[in-house]
Amino acid sequence: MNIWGKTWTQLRRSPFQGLAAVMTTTLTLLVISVFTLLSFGSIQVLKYFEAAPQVIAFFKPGEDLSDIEIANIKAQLEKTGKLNQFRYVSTREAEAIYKEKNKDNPLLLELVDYNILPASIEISAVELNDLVELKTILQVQEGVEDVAYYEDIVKSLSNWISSVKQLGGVVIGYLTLESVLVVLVIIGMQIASRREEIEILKLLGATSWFIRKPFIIAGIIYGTIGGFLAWGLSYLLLLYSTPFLANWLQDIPLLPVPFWFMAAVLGGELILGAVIGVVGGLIATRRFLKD
Amino acid sequence: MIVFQKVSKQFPDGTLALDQASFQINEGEFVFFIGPSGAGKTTIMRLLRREIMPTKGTVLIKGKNLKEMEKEETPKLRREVAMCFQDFKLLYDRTVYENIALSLEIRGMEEKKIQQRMAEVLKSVGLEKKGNFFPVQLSGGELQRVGIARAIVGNPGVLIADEPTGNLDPESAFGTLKLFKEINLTGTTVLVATHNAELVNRFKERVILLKRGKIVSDHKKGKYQLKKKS
Repeated sequence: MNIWGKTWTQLRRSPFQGLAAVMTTTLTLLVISVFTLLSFGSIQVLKYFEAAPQVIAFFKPGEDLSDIEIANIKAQLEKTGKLNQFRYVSTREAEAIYKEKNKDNPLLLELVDYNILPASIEISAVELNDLVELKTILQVQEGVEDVAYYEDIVKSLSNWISSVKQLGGVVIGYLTLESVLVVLVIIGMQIASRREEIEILKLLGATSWFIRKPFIIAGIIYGTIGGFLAWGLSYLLLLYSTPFLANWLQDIPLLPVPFWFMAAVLGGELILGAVIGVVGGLIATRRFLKD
Repeated sequence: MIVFQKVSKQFPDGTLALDQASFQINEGEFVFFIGPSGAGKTTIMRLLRREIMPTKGTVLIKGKNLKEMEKEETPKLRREVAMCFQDFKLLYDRTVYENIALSLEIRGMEEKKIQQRMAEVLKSVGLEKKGNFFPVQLSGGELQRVGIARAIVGNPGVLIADEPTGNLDPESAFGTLKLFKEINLTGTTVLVATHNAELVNRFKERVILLKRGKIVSDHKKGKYQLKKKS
């Protein structure tokens, strides 16, 4: 009987122990999947907000700035060395944007033209912390009526991602340890139930590795099955919640989650599942199979 | 060659199982170790397979001191010094074929070669028609033959048997020892521990007599004669 045959026999002999190991590993890896998706989503949302203008200075409605005025403001901002992007939106461009956004509403289109829309300057900073300084420069420019400032949203998102990562790290660490222990205990029980057979193998001259191998492979199988199930469940969960999330996220281009990302999650889950199985199996065989 | 030089074995409870035992066994020899229970026969067998270590003295196999051997070398030693057990030590959820083939699997032999070797060995022990039987379907003599087949299938240099006839009827016991002799004729060194002196007497082989851990006598091939009870 080859090693796979031996492992299969072992798995078949203790189906409920195996099921317990698979279920625990699945739960752990499902939580990991959820946190991974949450982190990925949060980072994408943050990127969206970071890429968007973080400060918009609106000028008096219907009045455009001259090229010299625009160049002067840009020069002041660039002098700080903290400017990332700069864009001047004229009243005509503002009108075009307005028309594009409200093309399905003829009434709104009739009411508004460029004479009542303000020109604006949209900027983003290299670092979020530099926004205050750039905002101050814009506020004091002649003709500026209002300044929209998105620092709070981005900061909140950054804090949220940081919290998700910290909480995720703690929960994942706890559950991973629990899974390793469950695999360890289950393989330990399997070793105990095969004590006589192991003793005979030793008497026949089997190497330590020959005896350990089926147990470690069983651990890997438990882990990878758990990984695959966790991935499948998280994918189903994602597909189920996509309509609600899409509605909630509106313009943020997050969904559908790219296939390469889900494939990477699957790869990661399988590897982590196998690692849980190997670690549990190795500790169990080391602990319970003393030479 | 197997050499015991003033070997003593004392167990933690204070029992002196072997006391200054010295002997030498050449390759291809057939040796019986006889003596009453507690004489030290099993201790010698276990020392030869490094299941226990001597308290004093030296055990050499092919010039190698077992005390100085690395722990990792023990499996290799046990494959070279194969053993048959009184209680057979078979796996009862596996067939005769699977029990015997296990000895080849642990040697890492390919499936095809295992099949070839298995056919030869099953025939040599007269079990060619019982490969698919489970141990519970066999008689005591047949079970012992499975144990012997498992021990010899890997072509060990030394075959040791601890009370191989202890659980067998006289006819099966004689058949088992005859099988050992046949194996010995192929060049394998065979050491048999038994308390059945009458049976030993029928085979004119070298006999080492033990009593309370000491070697009482060492009879060369054909020189052992069982004393008749008056």
